[in-house]
Formats: sequence, C-alpha cells, structure tokens
Amino acid sequence: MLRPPPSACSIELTAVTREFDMVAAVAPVTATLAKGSFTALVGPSGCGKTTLLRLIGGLDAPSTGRVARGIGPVGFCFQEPRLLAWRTVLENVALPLELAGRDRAHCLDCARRTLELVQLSDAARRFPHQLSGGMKMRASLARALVARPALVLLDEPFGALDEVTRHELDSELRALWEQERFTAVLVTHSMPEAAYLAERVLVFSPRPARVVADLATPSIARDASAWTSDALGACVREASTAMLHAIEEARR
Amino acid sequence: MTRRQSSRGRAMLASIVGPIAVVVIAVAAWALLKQALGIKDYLLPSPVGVLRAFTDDPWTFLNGMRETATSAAIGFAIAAAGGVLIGSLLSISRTVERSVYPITLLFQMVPLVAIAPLLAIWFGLGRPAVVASTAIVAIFPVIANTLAGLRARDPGLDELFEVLGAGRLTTWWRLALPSAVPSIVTGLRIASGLAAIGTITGEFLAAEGGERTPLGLLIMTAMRNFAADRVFVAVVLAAGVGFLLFGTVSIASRLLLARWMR
Repeated sequence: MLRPPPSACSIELTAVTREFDMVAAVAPVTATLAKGSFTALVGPSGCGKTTLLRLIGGLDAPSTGRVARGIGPVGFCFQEPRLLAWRTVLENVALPLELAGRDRAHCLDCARRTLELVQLSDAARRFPHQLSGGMKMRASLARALVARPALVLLDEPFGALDEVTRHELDSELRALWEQERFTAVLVTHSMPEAAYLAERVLVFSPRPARVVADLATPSIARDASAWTSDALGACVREASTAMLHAIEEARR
Repeated sequence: MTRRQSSRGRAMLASIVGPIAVVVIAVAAWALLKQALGIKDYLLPSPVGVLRAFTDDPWTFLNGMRETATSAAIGFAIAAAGGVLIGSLLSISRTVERSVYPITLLFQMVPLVAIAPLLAIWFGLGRPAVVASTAIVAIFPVIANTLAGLRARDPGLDELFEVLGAGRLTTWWRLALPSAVPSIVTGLRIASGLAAIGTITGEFLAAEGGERTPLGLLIMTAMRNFAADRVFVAVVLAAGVGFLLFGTVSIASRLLLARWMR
C-alpha cells in the first residue's frame, strides 16, 4: 500500500543517567536497540521508563552518558491523544508533514493513506471531540506514523482504553510494525501487552531505573489467540518475576 | 426541516421579538408617564417629539452617525490588532509579562475624560484624537484575554510541537494563537462594546464640528441649547452604533468560532 519504509534507525544508550533536583530517575543504562526492532520498556510505576523514552526521543537531555540515534523523523505517541481541537482528524494527522514544510496537497494525501492504515478513514472530516477514546488514539497513532518515521516512540498509548479496544489497537499496531518495520520503543506497565507487541522486553527496577532483565519474546504468530498463548505467558511470568525481585531488592 | 431546526428557528424568533416587545412597552410607559405627570418638553421630550426632531433634520443625524461609526470601527480595529500583538508579546516570557502587564493596566485605570484633552493636544481636534480615545478604551480587554488564552493551553501540545521540530514562531502561529481564539474572541466582544463608549467620550472632548459633526458633538451642542429632543435622537443613534459594532463582531466571531464550538 505504501512505498517501502525509509531505513529504520538504531539507538545506542551508553551509561545514560538522568537526575531531577539531585534525585536520580535513571541509573546508568546501557543498551543497544537494533534497527527495525520492537522493544518494550516495562517496570513499576514511576520507575523512570517514560524519562528514558523522552531521552531517546530527544525531548530531554541525559545528565551523563550518551544517547545516539540515527537521523530521520521520529513519531511520538503520547499517553493522551493530544489532538488539536480546531483541526479535523485529517488535518491533525497531516500536522507533522505540514510543520516539515510539505505542500498541503501532499500532506493531506499522506494523511488520508495513513488514516486508511489505522482504519479511521470514515472519521477523517470529524473533529476530535466527536471521536471515542479509541478513535482518538487511532488518530494519534496515525499522526505518529504519517511522516514514515524511522523511529516510533510509544508512551503507554492505549493505557486509558478498555481491554477490548486496547487488544484491537495492539494487534493493529503489531501488524503495522510488521509491515513498515520502523524501530519501535514502547513504554507500558502491562506485561502481556509488552510480550505481545515487542520482540524484546527490557524490565526496569524501581527508581532509579536500571535494566534488571532483558528478554526476547517468543516468535509466534501474533493474532487474537496469541493473547492467551502459553509461550507468551511464560515470557510474561519471567518478566514479572524479574520485576518483583527488583522491587523486593529496592525495599531492602 | 427537522424538529431541532424548527425549535432553533423559534428560539431565534423569540430572541428578536422579545427585546422589541420590551422596547415598545418602555416607550409606551415613557409617553404615558410624561402625560400623566405633566413633565415639560425641555426636561423630557415625548417619544413623538424625539421622532419629530429626527425627521426635521435627518441628514445631520445620519451623517453624524456615520462619522461616529467610522471612528468607532477604526479605533476598534486598532485595539483588536494591537491588543493581540501586545498580548502575544507579553506571553513570550513571565519576566516581560510581570514588568509590562501592570503598565498596560494604565489603559484601564486612567479615566478617559482625563486623557482626552491630551489626545486633543497631541492629535489636534478631529478624527485621529477620537480614534485614539476609542482604541485606548477598547484595547485592554483584548490584551488581557489574548494573554489568558495564550497561557491556558495544555503544555502537552507544546511538547508535541517540540517533537515535531516546530520553531517558536511556527508554534505561536499554528498552536498558541489558534488555541487562544475563543478567549481572544471574548475579549473582542467586550472591546466592541467599550469602543462605542470611547468614541462618544472622545467626541465630547476632541471632535471637530463642520460638515459632518459626529454624534458626540451633536449631543454637546444640543445640550447647550437645551434641546432635549435632539439629545435623545443622538443618544439613541449612539446606542445604535454600539449595537452595530457589537453585532458585527458577534456574527463574525460566531463564524470564526465554528471550529472551536463544542
């Protein structure tokens, strides 16, 4: 449907730390995220995983250490849809291209195709307040993807949605990634979501965040039945155990 | 026509018929009271007397109204553009806001009657002084509402624009200003009501007579001649200028706000 994806980009984190007012949010983290990979960052609430995502996205600078990522557009999908109320869905999705200085016809054309991709074409002319929560997140996802980014950062994008809608969007996101092969980094507190979506799960300790487990998820077919598969279940158990250990250790 | 449309039509009809009914009742009460209490014409003219004062000399009044309306419109336009610009500049930083905003309050605090003579000295008698007095009265609500609107947006949207690599000017034009529109429009509506007051006051003190004497000066002249009927005509027309400006701004803002309406 779309042209072949631009080269995805890899991410190199070298002893990255981040402090806020003398309190460490991220302990030294060193990791390499391969080109075109899908990595989930999981950990207890407030552990600093969102901070790490912001560092990767360039929204924040590390206190020490280095974040290196390839050049190319970055798509960011926030916890909230963050749509502009005075723009239609189509115009919202076109925004990144518009800000990059592309001509209007091209912007709207790309936006229309991306809306097809997230199955939101019917709502193109509607305004954000006329959409359901799930539709808003679809629009937000479309906006993150419209510039054909090399890197897509997802910060618990579907956390506020009901279970069924969330599974649906997770499946679509996974399918989109398989098709487009951008480098994806997902922050979530849901182990099943991490295991289902990502190829690799990095489990973080409580604040300051450090990697306590680095797991590869089983390569199985990701369809609706995969949500309850034993293979994913084992991965979820392993990740949960690692996190629990880290939490206990932090309490001591 | 759907039921909803027809009920909206009925509501609109009521909003027109209602005020007209109130005016008719008020005018009737005025005529009856004057008759019953035997009030002299030079104190309170009858409604018919006011109408006669107008029909005896309609062009003096209509030209005056056009003159006043033009000054009000120009002054309002200056206040609108200037207010949005100043409000935007103030929003650049908290330091700028804290040091300059109190000074813009002067526009609100200093009584216009006190500065109008100064305007007459600076600009001479005539339109520029009147326009300046209009703009001074009308500008503050535009500044205040622009600033409030620019400050009120979700910081998450700024983050979005940062991720998308938008510069400050682009962020102002594509994000800050559009999200402030509902607030700015409120400021403009308040300003449109104030503009007519500023114009008439300016004309009291700094207008120039002649071919087209504006309403403010007509009021002053009629007052000195104890022509209460002519004062009434001019006051009614001055109110008409205010309604005209307010109505135009309201309709324009409703069209503009279509995208922002919930």
